[in-house]
Amino acid sequence: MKLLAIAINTIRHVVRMKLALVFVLFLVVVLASVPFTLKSDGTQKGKVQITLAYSLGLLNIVLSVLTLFLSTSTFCSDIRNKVMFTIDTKPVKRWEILAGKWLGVMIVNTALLLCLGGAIYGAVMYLGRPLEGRDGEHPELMRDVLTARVEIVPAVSRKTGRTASVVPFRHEKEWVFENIGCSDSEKVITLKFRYYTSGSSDEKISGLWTARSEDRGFYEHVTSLPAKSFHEFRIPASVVSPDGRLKISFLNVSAPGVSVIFPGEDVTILYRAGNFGGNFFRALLLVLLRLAFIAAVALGASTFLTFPVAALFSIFVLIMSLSVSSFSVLIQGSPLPESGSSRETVVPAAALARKVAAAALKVLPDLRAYDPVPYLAGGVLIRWRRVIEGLIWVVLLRSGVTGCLAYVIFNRRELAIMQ
Amino acid sequence: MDAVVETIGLKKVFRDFWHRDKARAVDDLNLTVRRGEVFGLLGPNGSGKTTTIKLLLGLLFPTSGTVRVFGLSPRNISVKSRIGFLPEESYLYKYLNANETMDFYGRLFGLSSSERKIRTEKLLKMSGLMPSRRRPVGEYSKGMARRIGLAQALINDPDLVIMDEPTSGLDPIGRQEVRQLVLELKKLGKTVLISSHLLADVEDICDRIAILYAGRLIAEGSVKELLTRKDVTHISVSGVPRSTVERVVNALRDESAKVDVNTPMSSLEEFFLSAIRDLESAERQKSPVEQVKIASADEKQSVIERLTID
Repeated sequence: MKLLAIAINTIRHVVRMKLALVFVLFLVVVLASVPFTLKSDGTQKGKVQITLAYSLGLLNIVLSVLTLFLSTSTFCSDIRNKVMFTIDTKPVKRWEILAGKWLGVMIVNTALLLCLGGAIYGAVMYLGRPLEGRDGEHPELMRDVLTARVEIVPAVSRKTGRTASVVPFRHEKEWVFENIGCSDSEKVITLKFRYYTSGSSDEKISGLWTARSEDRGFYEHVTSLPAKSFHEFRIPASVVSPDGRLKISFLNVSAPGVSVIFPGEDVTILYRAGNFGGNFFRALLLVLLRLAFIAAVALGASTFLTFPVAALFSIFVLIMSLSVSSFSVLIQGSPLPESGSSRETVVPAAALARKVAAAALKVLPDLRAYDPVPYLAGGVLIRWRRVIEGLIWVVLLRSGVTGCLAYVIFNRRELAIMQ
Repeated sequence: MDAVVETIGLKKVFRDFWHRDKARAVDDLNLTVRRGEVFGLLGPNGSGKTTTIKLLLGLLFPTSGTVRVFGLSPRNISVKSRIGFLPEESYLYKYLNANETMDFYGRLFGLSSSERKIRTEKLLKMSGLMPSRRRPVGEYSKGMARRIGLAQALINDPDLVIMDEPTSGLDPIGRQEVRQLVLELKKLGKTVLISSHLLADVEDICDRIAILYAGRLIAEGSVKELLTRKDVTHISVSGVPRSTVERVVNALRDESAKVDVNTPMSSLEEFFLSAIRDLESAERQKSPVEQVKIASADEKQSVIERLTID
């Protein structure tokens, strides 16, 4: 009850001090203008994709900033205005104060996310309605974007990680896909791919794609498409073997001397496994997980820092959490310095710095991995497993540990001493 | 009588970032507040009254020494549920109205909805805030803010009420009402600890007082004990002719007695100021090292005696 009282009071603080109003107004205006201002490829699918990606991305960013601001301001202002004196002299444990504030911020976030997410969903559904005179575009939109498809990566890639393959002229590259569990009602599956070329990037790459399984025959498809961007084509689902195996091969028939480069995991099989509404809901849950972590960090920082410093600290943690994968690649990929006579001292120091950096990155959650935008824009299913993973790793573990640390600091703090 | 508040050798030193001593706010404070009494913590600005109160509430932690409230640490939740605290200024949420403020603090005490409703109405009536109970506290005048602060301090029907400068910001009528309220709390068996520098406001209502100066206790005792002039006898007579009084006065003068027909009591304010003046002049004549020593038991006793006999 005490925790809830503090949560309700935090909501009142946000509403009556009009803290969220500016952010929400800004977001509403920008979101309303997204479909009219952004340039797409002119197709209905392109317009829906771009609206979905930008509006959800914007919602994600604005709510992250809002959460950070709300969490730090509600806590720091209570300490600065000495209201915390009055609260702390009541029979409330300090963890209840922290948890109550976090809960209040998260209730505000959930309400905003549901309202604004609902508005985005409505706008996308409106833009994705069947249009007169453009009947051919709607099925493609429903099949590729307004759906939820399972994405399967090649079995080898799953085992060995991301490895790039180079396919010279008249050479072939094969991928094996397993556990393709498309139902019998699905007539087609989709092959999604992206490649790069050793030749001019403007040049179209020609290739012969073959899909086959041992007991279901094969299907061939010729493509002549530019490099760098993702492409898709459909394959009859009947070629997938009953145990869910399928081999996909690519024969480079571009031109002599032109090699085709496939970065790891950029060839995938997609098939429908759910609807867009459910997927959109799970996307909002992923956004909420991120906000839960940001709120915990911002409140934690506010227990020992003043408002502007706590906000800056939280922004730093947020940026680092969004860059975990990039920094990890940089740290693991860069060679240790070798500089002649000073090598003996430089190398251990650099190795130590690298270990410290790697450990620091492990403490932070990889928020980019829980970004729902690429999933929704590509019509890719967000599995419940992903959401639960996020709940465990981002909310329970990272936010939980942050909360415990914040409690220890806050509990040791003499509230009547201003920082 | 049970000790409700007890401090033993309490010391609070504020330190800077480098952990160097910045200010000694409370120094070797031994204090006992007994159940059911109204205790006044007096002293000039910067004497350590508010710091002492913050230590008693767990808002500050002692550098050394012990603080016990109801025999336990002031940070204990069961202790907090028995305390009502009126801070120096009403540190309340400006966006909440009086009803919501009372309801919020009532919830923090775990009071039921019906209890909160009854107590809110009673306390808002008592503090005269019923007509403005729906206005945000941020719009209240200073006096009204003190009243709502006082009301919230009593929402839990506390056994111990701690008031930091309760009459500051109030007009004479408001001050009289606070005094009346404190006496009513005493009648109900509550223990009240008041910190103030407005001596006239607390003189009539305190059972015992302690005077702090530079963080040290320089006098403690009942108001009567401290203010009574022991070398003076006050004879009160009525219905006696003037000539008879003059005969009595002359007879006393024949005995070389100094006779004064005025009231033998000095005001608390006079006592307080002379105590501070004496201490300041005594300290001016001593080195800084000796100044610290003045708080030793014997010297402190002599200062108290000098002050009380004077």
